[in-house]
Amino acid sequence: MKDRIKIIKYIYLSLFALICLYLLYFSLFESRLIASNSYNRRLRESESNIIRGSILDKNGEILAKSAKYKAGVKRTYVYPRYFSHVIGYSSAKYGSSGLEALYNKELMSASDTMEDLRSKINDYYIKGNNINLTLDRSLQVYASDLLRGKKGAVVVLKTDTGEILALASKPDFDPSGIQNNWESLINDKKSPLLNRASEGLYPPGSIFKLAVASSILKNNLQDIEVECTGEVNADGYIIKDSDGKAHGSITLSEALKYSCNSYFIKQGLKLGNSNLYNEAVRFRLNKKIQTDIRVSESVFPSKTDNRSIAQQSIGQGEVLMTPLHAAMMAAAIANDGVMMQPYVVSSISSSENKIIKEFKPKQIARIMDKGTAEAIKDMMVEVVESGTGTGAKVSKVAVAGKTGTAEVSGNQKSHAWFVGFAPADSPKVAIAVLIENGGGGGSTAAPIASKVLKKALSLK
Amino acid sequence: MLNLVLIAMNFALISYYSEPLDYMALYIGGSLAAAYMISRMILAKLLNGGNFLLFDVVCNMLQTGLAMLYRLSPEYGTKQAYIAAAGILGFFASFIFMKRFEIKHKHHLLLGGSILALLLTTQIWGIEINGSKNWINLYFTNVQPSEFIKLIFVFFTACLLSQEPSRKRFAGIAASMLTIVAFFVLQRDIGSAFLFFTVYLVMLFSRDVKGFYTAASAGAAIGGAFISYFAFSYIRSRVLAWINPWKYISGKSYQITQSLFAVATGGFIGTGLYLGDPKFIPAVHTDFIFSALCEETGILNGISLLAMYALLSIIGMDISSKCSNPIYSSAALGLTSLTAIQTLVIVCGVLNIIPITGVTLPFVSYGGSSLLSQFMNVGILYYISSNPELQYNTDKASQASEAESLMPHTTSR
Repeated sequence: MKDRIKIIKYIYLSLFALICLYLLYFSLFESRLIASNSYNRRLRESESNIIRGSILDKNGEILAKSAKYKAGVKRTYVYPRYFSHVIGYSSAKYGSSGLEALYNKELMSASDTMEDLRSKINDYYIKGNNINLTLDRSLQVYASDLLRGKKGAVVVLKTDTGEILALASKPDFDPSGIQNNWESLINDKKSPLLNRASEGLYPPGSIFKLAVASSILKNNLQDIEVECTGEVNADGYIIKDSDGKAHGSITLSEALKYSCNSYFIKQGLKLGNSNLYNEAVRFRLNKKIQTDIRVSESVFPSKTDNRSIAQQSIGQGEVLMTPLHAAMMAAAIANDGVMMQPYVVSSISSSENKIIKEFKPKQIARIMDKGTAEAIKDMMVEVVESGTGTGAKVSKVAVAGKTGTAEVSGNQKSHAWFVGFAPADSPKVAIAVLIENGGGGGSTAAPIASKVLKKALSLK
Repeated sequence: MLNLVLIAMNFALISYYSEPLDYMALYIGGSLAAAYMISRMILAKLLNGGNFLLFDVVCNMLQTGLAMLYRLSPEYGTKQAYIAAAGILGFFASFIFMKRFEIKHKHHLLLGGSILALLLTTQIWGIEINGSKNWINLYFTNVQPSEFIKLIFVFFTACLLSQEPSRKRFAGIAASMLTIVAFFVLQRDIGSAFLFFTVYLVMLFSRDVKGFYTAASAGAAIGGAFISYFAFSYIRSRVLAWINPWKYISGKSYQITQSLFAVATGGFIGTGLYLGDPKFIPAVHTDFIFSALCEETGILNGISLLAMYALLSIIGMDISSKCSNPIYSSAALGLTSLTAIQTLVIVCGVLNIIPITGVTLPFVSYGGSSLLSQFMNVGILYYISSNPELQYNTDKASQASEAESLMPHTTSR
């Protein structure tokens, strides 16, 4: 019996020892992953003893930072309104948005265990990781200022990598005042909380003709001359050219240059729904765009009636695109037909600026062959050189572009679009400008694009 | 050894309680220290001869629990302090009771009868709190009869096992165990069902030379567990929550995942008292106090607390093996196993090593019935260790010399 008691004693002791070993294992190998689970409410609640990481632009300029004060930790947005949509806000009551929400885990955790331990021993404050962006602070500020007083968006991409250099959306809001202005912000009819650049869906209008042109080229219909009488009757639905102007016998190049509706409708009807729909999907409409910010899915409905096909051939009807997607379309043409995945976070680094994770450019897909891209590029140069997009000219640089004037229902003014890239011969940056109810693309959007492109090309 | 424990304990008391400038906390700390010293003096002067370390270890756990409880909720902490006072009285009361009444084999009918009576009372008049129908409303307070049944149960089983097990006797024992466990399962108190049966198994194992009856009982238990899994949805839900806690994170696994978050966030050295968020865990002051402790005082403190329970197990097992009376030796084994197994069950439960069952962490969790019963448990153990008539003659000399060696330390304090 004494032996049995001894056995039981050792069983108990070894069980206790095993739990202790498990606890050690748990604290060393499992706790980090478990603690950073998004369901762990401590991530938010314990902000008072974690110094949230900073957010920096591509040149290392600080855009958002946290610092310790007597009352706890306070977050400061250095350019609050300029980056309000991209960076977002972080509020205990209203949750968080933008990068503050998507990168909460990284901003709230220290990657360096020793740093973690050291700061814990010292003063219970942990410094979170920093997020480095592809955005250029000066370009973002410049583009936003050009939109002042308007509703709209400007997106600038690097054509060969997909890095987002600017993502401006107006109207904006002050992320540091979110608690006080919440009610008025969500009730504001101008929807200042909406990131128009990546989440706003608009009829693309004539900028969609770039995709239709691509389909025309792929189907070898570019040599057909189309007679433009100034209006088209599609099953009783009459669509006019701008100001009812008749372009006469016209080719693809000229049709794009003058943005001739009749040409694209007639060619679109020839291509039919399946060709148009497939081309739209190839351009990533109806598809989720993989990126590190919140993006709405652009829309191209599959319609077989002539009336819808006619409308969709000129980017009207129920076709919808985000300004970011429009910029991606231009960038793909500039990049010899390869569409790159857009991204805004280039790397994550520790509080001591040691790079922990780097994000490399990624291809989405080749959406057209190089020859097609070259052909469209040449036509786009014509658009800016002597077509509808002359307002986008930049001195000493050849700009390629396409304007859009998207009609909206009701008596409101059209949405003004411009997409393009520069320099046309060796593209560096692509752009999309959208002005809600801004009127003509050539008169309203193109001049803004011209200024932003000039500024973007002047940057290193 | 003893001195070290004492110093560590006093030091811990001071550092814990002097930190918040809360007079109630200081008052509780002071009273606890005073109660501890007075109790130690009574033990040394009047009830000499027992194992002092037992009381020291228990008080160490108590002060850890009181500090944590007071931090979680001053209201619960204060209540628990009163219960602790009653517990210390219970310690002495059970000592005196044991001194007056010698338990013999013939008492097994009385013991068994009282267990049945208490179980029936709970079954008929019991009220449901936190999903288990194992409480009785006594107008001024609610009590959990199962906590006190534990003590009677250990003596009941010890009496039954004091005679050489035969097939016929074993059938009687098995029938009694089955009845008791069935009551707990019906009352949805799966923790008690498991605890009672395992304690019985351990006690049987120490007596069952061939191991046949132990194996048979264990086999029956595994079979019973399988049947219960399919028969009772509340058991199934616990098991599912255990197997994949992250899948049911906002549903049935909410408690356990919150507990894991707490331990994970605390890490090795913890966030520091008042610097964590243990209140996110439901039932944090009872079943999940170990997680709160790990979050704020670190896994390091969790391990040292576990070491205390290991120490308590060693002491209890030594008391059992030194005891010459088969009933009392068995009882000491059972009483120690109660504490040890209950600790293992709840600590493994909150760490998701096994499915969670609602039992308290001995001497640390909030709970009147459970703390009182645990103090009575060690009171009885102390009695067994202090009564020379219950010790082996050969061990008497060494026991006495050990007691003597302890004396200078206690007086020099």
